[in-house]
Amino acid sequence: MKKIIHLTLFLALISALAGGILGYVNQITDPIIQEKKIAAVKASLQAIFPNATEFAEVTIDENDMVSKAYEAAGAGYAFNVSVQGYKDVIEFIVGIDVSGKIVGLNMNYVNDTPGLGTKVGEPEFINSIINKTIDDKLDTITGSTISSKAVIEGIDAAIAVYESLK
Amino acid sequence: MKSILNYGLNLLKENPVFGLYLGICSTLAITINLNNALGMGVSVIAILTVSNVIISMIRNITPDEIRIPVYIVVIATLVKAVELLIKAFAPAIDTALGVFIPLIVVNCIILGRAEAFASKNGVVASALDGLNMGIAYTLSLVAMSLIRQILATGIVNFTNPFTNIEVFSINLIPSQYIIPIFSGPIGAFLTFALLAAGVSAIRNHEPKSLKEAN
Repeated sequence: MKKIIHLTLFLALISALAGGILGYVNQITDPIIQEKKIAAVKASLQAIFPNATEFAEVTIDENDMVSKAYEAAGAGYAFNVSVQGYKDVIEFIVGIDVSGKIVGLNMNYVNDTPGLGTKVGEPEFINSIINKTIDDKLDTITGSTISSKAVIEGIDAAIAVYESLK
Repeated sequence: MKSILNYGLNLLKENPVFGLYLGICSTLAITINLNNALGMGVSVIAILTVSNVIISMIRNITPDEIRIPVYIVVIATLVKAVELLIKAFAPAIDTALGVFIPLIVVNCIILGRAEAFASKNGVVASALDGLNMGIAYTLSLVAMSLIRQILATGIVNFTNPFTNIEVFSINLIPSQYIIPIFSGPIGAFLTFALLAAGVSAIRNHEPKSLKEAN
C-alpha cells in the first residue's frame, strides 16, 4: 500500500512539474505564435487585394472545402480552401473581387507527386486561372489531372460561397 | 588524429539510424531537403541532450516500476516546449516538418538513450551521450537529405529558418537529368538501403588492429 502511494505521488509530482513548465513556455510563446499567424494571413490577403486596407473574417455555413472566408472591405472576398489532391490535401487561398473576377490564387500546401501534381503550384496554371470570371470554364492540366481538377472543384466551391455572400 | 578516427568509426558503428536502426520513420519522411534535415536534427540534439540530463539527475529517486512513464512525461514535455518555441521563432520549420516535430516524442532514439544510458550514468556523461547521439542522427539525416535533394531536384540550398533568407543555393544537375522519384517514399527507402549497406560494409571491414583494440 505504501509503495502504491509512493509511486502515485512521484508520478503526480513529475507530471505537475511538467505541466507547470509547459504552462510557462506556452505563456511566453502564445502571443508570438498568434501574432505570426495573423501576420501570415494578412500578408497573403494583402497580396491578393493590394489596394484594400481592412480585412475581416466572415462567418459562413459549414462547408467541406471552404474553411474560412475573409472580406476585404470594398474590394472582394478571399476564401481558404482545402481539397483532397492525389495523395494529400491541397490548401490554397482564392480571391474573388466585387465584379466576380478571380484576382488571386495562392497555393499554401501542395504535397502531390513532384513534377506532376505540383504543377498546380506553378505560375502557368495559376496564371491560367487569374483574371477569369466566375462564369468562365477553368481548364485542368494534362499530366496533373487529379490535382488540378481538385483545385478547380475547390474554386467552384469558393464561388458558390461567394454567390451566397454577395 | 587517432581519437578523431576512432570517434568517426564509433559514429558509424553506433550510428543510431544506420547502425542501430532507430528513429527510421521520421528519417524516411523528412529527409526531402537539407533544411528539413537540419531543422529536425537540431531539435533532436536539443531534446535528447536535455532529456538525458534530466533523466540522469532523477535516476536515483525514480522508482524502478514507473521509470518508463516518468521518462515519457519528461520527453513529451521537452518536445512540446520545443514545438512551441519553433512555432514562435522559426515558423518555416513548423510548416515544413509539421507533425514530425510532435512525433519526436515517439522517436526511439530518445527513449532508447534514456533507458540504456542516462538511467545508469552520471549527468555529464549523459549530456555527452545525448550530444553525441544527436549529432550522429543529424549527420545521418544530412547525408540522406543531400543525396535525395540533389538527385530529385538538382539543387542544394539552405534557407535560414529564423529569417527566411536563402543562405546558399547551388545548382548541380541540369533539370532535364533529375530523378523526381527520389523525393518520394520510394527514393527514401532506396537511399536508406544504400547508406545502411554502406555503413555495414565499413563496419565489417574495419582495420584488424582497431578490431582487436575494441
